[in-house]
Amino acid sequence: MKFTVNRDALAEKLQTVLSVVSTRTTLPILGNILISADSEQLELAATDLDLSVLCKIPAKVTKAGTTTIPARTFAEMVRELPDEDVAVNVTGNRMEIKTGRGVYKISGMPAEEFPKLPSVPETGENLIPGDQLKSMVQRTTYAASVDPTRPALNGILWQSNGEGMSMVATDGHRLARVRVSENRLAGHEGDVIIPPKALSLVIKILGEEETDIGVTLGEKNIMFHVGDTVVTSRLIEGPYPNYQQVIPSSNDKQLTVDAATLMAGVRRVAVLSNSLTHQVRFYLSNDKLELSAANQDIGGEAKESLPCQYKGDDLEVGYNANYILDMLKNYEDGDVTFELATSVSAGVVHSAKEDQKDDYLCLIMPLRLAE
Amino acid sequence: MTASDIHTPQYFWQQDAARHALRAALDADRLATAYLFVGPEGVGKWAAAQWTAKALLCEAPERGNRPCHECGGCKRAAKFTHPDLHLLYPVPKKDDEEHIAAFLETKRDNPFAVIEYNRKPNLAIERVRDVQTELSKTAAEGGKKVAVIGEADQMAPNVHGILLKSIEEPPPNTHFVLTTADPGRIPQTIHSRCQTIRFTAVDPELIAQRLVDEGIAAPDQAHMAAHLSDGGWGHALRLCDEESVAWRSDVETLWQKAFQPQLSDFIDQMETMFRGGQKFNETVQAFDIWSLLLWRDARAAFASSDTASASMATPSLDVAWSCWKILQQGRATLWVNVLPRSAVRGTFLALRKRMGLG
Repeated sequence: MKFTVNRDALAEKLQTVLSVVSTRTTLPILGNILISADSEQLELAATDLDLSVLCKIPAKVTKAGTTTIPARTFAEMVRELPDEDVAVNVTGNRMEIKTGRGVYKISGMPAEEFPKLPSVPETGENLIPGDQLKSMVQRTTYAASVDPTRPALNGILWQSNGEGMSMVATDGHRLARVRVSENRLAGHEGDVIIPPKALSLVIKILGEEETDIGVTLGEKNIMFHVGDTVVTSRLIEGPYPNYQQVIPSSNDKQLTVDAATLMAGVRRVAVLSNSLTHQVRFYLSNDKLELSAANQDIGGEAKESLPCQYKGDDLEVGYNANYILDMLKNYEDGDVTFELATSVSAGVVHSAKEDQKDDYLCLIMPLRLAE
Repeated sequence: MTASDIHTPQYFWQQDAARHALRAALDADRLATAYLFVGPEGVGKWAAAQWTAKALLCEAPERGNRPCHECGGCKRAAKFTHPDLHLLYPVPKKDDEEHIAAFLETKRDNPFAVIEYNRKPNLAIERVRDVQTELSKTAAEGGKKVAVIGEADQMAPNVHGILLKSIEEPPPNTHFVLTTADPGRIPQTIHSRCQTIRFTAVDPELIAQRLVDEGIAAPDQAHMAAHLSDGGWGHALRLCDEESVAWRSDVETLWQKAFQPQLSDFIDQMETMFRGGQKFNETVQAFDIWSLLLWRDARAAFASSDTASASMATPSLDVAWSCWKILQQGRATLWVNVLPRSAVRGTFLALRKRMGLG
């Protein structure tokens, strides 16, 4: 294999690929990147078995071939090279890098040892605007579970049907669901469960750019095209629990409050909450919301009243402050509505605007109040 | 060509029943989701598990879904580097990373190898959870996933509990292979959810013959190793390595020195042998060798009244019998935490007394 490539382009793409290079010792080959050169381009690929990243760089290829090279060493080397074209020659598994001033050599491993990467289908791709995907991911991932005993809940459910698509995450204490009315996953109906790590990586690679992301759904994996980078992830095997069943539909008490005001209030009061449970009490009476918290360990007590709209019987309910904050920061400025029933049943939270009610829905379980 | 190159392809040496059962399942495309391979150590349970994994991960299976041994899938399964092959086996807690690497290295060279530790090995719960997380995702290469769990009896009850959950409701496209030499210690709940395949001890004569044929040991060493191996080829191989041969020759020397009028040689020899380390497994083996030597000597003594060829004068069957019992008792004390050196000393003093040597 023989090629010449621009150093800056190589260094930049190496950085992207490096994000999935694992340090797992059981499979040393995973510490390497797969380099393949053919016709007019160079492909860099790395995988940690869950995720794989593939980047393409234009290059002048004089002899095609593939090999694998220790990723971190190679990246470090390229980073330090002067900014000029880099000539690379690979014989056997030995790579020789030539620049204007010097020659560097490094040994790799045969490409056959590298795990087989999922093939990239040419068709069946759906385009989703980057900012839309980003917002969907950011508004759901926080609610995904990290409990290894329930693997399906560790992922994010991506549902698609004729009318639209939605993303759902839950850990059993809270749930977040984002819905968009356009169905961007044309031709695909059904559910897939995606590891949050994959979605976060896609968002990271996307950065601030405003491009479309190509999504291809396979039976066993999902593929994202971000510019000329391809991220492929394994899916989590279902089934995902029937989350719709737990969303209450008959909560009769409605609290409407400004999201920013409530967030600021909860944040202040939570400072003096129990350091283990982070419990903040909501005391609701006619158009009045009183937040309170207590921490016996340091003898702290906090109380605050906030303006709100509330109609119904008085109600006292406790929430984990962190859950409330995680949720509220995803609402844009404006009012949010809590639909509540009792102090021990799930509350539903959504935007107070009637037309946005279904776009983003959260469900939160209260904490049992200690007397 | 090394010894391991020769026997690696023979995944089912002398295990026809197991081979037929697995082949039939593959031919009919009805491989069970969980297997329990039961049989003595070193007979090839791990090798058969590896073969099964290859069959499941093969990219170009041959007639009847059998592995081709040539494709990338098979090759990586053989090297344990296939991303969809998950291995679990107990190792000692201390320096577990090193033990894990060493285990793979050894089994890669020879899947029949018997690996012994001086500390009790166990299977850490975190490793089981990691594998479970992996199994909950779709296969890394899109095909099947295989989990091989070696010495499945050496697990804490809570680990069994976690494992049961996976075996009971296996994730799609997932197969489990458990191996054990002690099926009695596998909980009934797991047992009942696995299809059991039995591996049997191999005739020592066949093992001895193969050791000689493959140029691994000289006939007399091969014979001794085969008889001490409990019918396990892996065991026999281990008994033929340099260290084991040296130890066995020490063990034999000790036997000869034990019945001389002067005890000083015997004491010197014993001190040398037990310098540094407990040598539990080796001492158990030594007792087995002495039992063999006892009967060899006794037989020589009965065959001719000329006892000069034997190291021990054996006056009667009665004495030989009680000497054998003394050896068995000595061997048994090792399991109640008597130091190997003390067990040996005590046993030989009793033997001398029984033979009237004082």
